[in-house]
Amino acid sequence: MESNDKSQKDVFERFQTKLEELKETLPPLGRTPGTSCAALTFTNILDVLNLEIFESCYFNNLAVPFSGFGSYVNDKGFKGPCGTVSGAIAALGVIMGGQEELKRENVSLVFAKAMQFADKFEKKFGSVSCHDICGYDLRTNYKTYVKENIWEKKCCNFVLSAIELVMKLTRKDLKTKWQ
Amino acid sequence: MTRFDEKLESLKEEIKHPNPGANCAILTFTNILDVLGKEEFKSHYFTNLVAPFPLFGGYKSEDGWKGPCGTVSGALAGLGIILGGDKKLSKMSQVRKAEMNGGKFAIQFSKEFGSICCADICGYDLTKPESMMEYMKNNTWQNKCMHFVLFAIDQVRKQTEKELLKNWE
Repeated sequence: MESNDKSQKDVFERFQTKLEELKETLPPLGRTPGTSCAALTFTNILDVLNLEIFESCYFNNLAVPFSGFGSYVNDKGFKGPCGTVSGAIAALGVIMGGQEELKRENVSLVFAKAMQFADKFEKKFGSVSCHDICGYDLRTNYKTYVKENIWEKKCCNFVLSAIELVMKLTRKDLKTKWQ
Repeated sequence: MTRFDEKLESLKEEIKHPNPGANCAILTFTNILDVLGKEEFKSHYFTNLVAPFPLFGGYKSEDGWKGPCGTVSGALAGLGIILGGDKKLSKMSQVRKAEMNGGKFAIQFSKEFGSICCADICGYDLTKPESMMEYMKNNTWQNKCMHFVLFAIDQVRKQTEKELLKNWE
């Protein structure tokens, strides 16, 4: 694997540094057009993993529609999942797969982690649905969302918690596959 | 016949009996990437990142929230790649367009199958081993899920015709 020579820190230190850095850099993004919680969650985790391939724009782009999916509500009451949850689940797959395609026998472990992640996220914030946890229907109330600083007050915390939770849930894989 | 048409035609047979380890999210996403034809997309990271989504589809929260079908998640990832082309989606208009397309896809999928929840449309709670057995016994993949994959790939193509021409020809 070709890694960037950004530091000699181990992967857990890089996670901690990233989380510290994001506490400063995430809040102002609420004023920056083009912010996607799903892409921020996913690409910042990939950044910690520190491979050259993850600098490709494709990893950012594939995550962006998940933010919009979060705003989806249908007439049967289904509400889309928070984009940070989708971004984190994608990252779980990458971390647990390591440097090879996920083996068939390991897929159930990844599934279990995805469930654990959703469960812990729900316990912490009360739901995995974007609408429920940010408190707004972003299709119709986006202006109020911005005016009320909901990104700064709530969504930043979802991104930070999702990244931290992924780190905690994948300690073993990070140690064996990403050091 | 476009590359998408050819892919859909061949998949009708190929995915009746998918390779072990493949799942609805992987099949949807990697077959879209295959149509786009970039060497880079053969990297295993693209497969691994969508691999967990089918079971998120099986997730049921305490308040009754049910996860989306893995096909939907695979298709959303495909939409983002196509819409962005070789440049990072970063301008507000681009990001909003990609987000809107995510919502639009969900609406169309729900219109076609009545829901986007995995448990609702396949009819089984795939987190339970006994339900999984029933799912397999009744050939649910062949009778239902593979059609979600085919529809999703086609719907992604329909929603991105302009970008496919502009960014991927």
